[in-house]
Amino acid sequence: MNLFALFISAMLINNIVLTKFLGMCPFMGVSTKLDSAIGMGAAVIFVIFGASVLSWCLYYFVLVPLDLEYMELITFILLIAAFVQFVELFLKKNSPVLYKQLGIYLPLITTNCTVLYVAQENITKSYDIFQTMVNSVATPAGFMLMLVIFATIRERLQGNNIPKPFKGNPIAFVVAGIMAIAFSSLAGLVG
Amino acid sequence: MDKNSSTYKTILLSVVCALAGACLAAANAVTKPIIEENAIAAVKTTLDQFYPGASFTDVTTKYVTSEYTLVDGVYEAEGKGYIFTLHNTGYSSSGFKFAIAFNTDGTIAGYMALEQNETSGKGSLAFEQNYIDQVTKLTSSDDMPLISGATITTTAVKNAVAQAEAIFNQIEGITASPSATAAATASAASSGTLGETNFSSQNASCKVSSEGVYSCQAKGFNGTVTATVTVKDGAIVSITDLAGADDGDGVGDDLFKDGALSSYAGATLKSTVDVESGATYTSKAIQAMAAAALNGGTASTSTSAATASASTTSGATASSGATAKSSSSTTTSDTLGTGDYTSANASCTASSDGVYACKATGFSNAAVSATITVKDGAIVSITDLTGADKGDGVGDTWYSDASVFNGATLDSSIDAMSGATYTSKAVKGMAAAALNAAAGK
Amino acid sequence: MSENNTNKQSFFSKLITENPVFGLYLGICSTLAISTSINNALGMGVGVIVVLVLSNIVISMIAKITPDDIHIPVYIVVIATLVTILEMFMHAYTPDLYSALGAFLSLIVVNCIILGRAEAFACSHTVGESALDGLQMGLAYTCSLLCMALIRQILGTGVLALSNPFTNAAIFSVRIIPESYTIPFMTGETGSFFTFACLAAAVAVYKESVAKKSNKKEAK
Repeated sequence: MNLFALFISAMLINNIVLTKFLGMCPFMGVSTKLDSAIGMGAAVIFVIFGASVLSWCLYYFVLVPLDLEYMELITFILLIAAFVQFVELFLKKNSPVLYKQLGIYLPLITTNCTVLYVAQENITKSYDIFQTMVNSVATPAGFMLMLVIFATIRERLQGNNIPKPFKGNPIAFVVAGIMAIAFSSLAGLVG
Repeated sequence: MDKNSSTYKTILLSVVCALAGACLAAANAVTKPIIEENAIAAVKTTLDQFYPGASFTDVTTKYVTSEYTLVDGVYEAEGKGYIFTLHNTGYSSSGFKFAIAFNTDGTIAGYMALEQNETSGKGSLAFEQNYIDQVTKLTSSDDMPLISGATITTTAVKNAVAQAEAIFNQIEGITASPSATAAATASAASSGTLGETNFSSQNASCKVSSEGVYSCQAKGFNGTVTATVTVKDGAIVSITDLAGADDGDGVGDDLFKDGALSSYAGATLKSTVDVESGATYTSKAIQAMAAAALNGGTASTSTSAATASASTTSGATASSGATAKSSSSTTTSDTLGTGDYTSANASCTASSDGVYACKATGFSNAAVSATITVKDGAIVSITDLTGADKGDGVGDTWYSDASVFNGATLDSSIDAMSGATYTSKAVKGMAAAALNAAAGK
Repeated sequence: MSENNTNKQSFFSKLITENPVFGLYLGICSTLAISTSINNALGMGVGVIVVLVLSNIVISMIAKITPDDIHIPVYIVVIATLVTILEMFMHAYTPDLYSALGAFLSLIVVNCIILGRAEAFACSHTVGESALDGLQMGLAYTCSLLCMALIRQILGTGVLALSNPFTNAAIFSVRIIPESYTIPFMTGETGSFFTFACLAAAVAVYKESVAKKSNKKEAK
């Protein structure tokens, strides 16, 4: 699949939040304010890109030659945890400003379904390194898009008269459902 | 040892990882063979649906290269055809999987969904009986039809099938099925002897114009090719006056030049004449005419035991450029009694003793009808053969002359006309139905 | 005083108010994705119970010897191993369930419930207690999944069907709503979100009423 189509597909059409339901946990927690949404989104894109490319290399250069494909899950998750830890330390030392903005989200990201999912998807769909890179940027970009849209909607919602049971998280899910309908109309946009 | 020392931590981590690895290796050893078994078994039920009882070989790794991203598996049903398991994504993001099978003659043997989650009433139409019926009337050179309202899904199906067809056409063009004997031609460069090769697709026939001189015609690349073949004492003296629709198309024109066919001089049924590379069809047409003349009228056809299974007639060059109507080769081994004519939907009603009014579906769903007279288990004649596909240039020869059926029984094999597969099937279907009806089946 | 009141909550009441999915919003991703049919829901639920119980047991055993700063990776390795083994066995013995659950089987590793319980409970309790806790949490999760799946499957396809995952034989299949009255989008993403929202709202209401009751009792 050509790279541009892959990008659009991963980001918009098969949006990871709306079609694959991943990244919901931080979604509910972080999407209430626009600033935190943007910060989280940026952090996620960076982590997923780095972790996915590294795990792709790990899989094809280490696991496959050694016939250890079944170690995929363990090695991937350890790699992700290590990578996040490393990024956190790096930020802390070298860029306190950035650390302050993004650092708090990093530990959250380790157990974020999205990271592991993207890393594994690159393998199950047999992407080459370029497709991996595109997928690993497009998918979290889609996640960030959702985060931002949601944050703006939720900020507005807070002032509205919502039935008591639905206040807080339930109404967020209703919004997500409506967005799922909206985005499903994009199906078939590219090839 | 202090719990917090780095050595302790490293050791603990390594031990934990090692134990984990060991457990996984053990579990893997236990489950892997079962998983592999399941994989074959899972596909086997699908394969059996297309060709019950056939023996299958998994030829996926042999034919599927990395550009065929939508093809999951290719399975050869020995002597019958190939089954492709494919996947793509339609409207639902979870994608769908389906299988399609091609008979060796290129017609589609079957099509079915394996896994699909498309919108009910829209995308799911691509997997329902209506569509399946449409698809099974097509060949490996056709595109899958689109359904309005289910465009996304059917386009996805079309794209996947296109890959399968590309692989299939390549297979049929390049390989000779190992079970065929000397009859099948393996590639453009080599060929069997004039006597053994199956020229049924060329539909060559010769009329005696004077002693030892035959004016012959056969089907070439673009249309009919004619020539005058002189035969003496079982060997060709010369082939002259080669003319035909192929001449001047840039391909194989050399063959039409004077003296180009000198290689045929002295050729007998036991001779092998090279096919001109890049001009396979035209060369074969010429060979067919030569063989026909040597045989005194028609080129060797299906009834010879040598051609037990489907023969391939298109060389490697054909599959890339051939248009739909000329590339399909025919299974010549089926008799009227054993052949599968269900797609032609033939039916006959007795109008008087031994006379049947029959109808069937021909090319492009055209309705075809004929009057068939049967006596003592054999066809006396087929007359009044008409149909919506008459006059379209395809299969019209059937409409002018179906005399080849005279005397045919359920055990006879009648060659389908190359390029007129559907019409042939329709006519054969009606003949079979009439014979069956006469036999009281 | 209030502690007595919470103890008076019945087991089922707790199942709702302390429900990991609708009450605490953990393990949402898989709930939304898997609840398309009760077959998948049961399969996933059982898988989670198995992993949860076993991981709680193992972690409570090694908690004492694990230094604090490497406890996360160690727990993760344990959970990941268990999940991979579960995956392998499911692939071998229940292949259809395996392909229906797809990537979400691997994602059990990052299911917040499992790591959350390991950290919150298993590392500080005995093996027996941890196992029991794992079972309870797993059951609560499975019940939530089943609720969603029931609603979505009945409204979305009209049919209630269960089949044996090992042999694919249907155990029962009942049509409850005629085909023309089904709401197809319920089996899709939208239906998933809406159902979840409604159930979460319902749980919120219930929680309110329980809190009010216990406040009333306290006031007495």
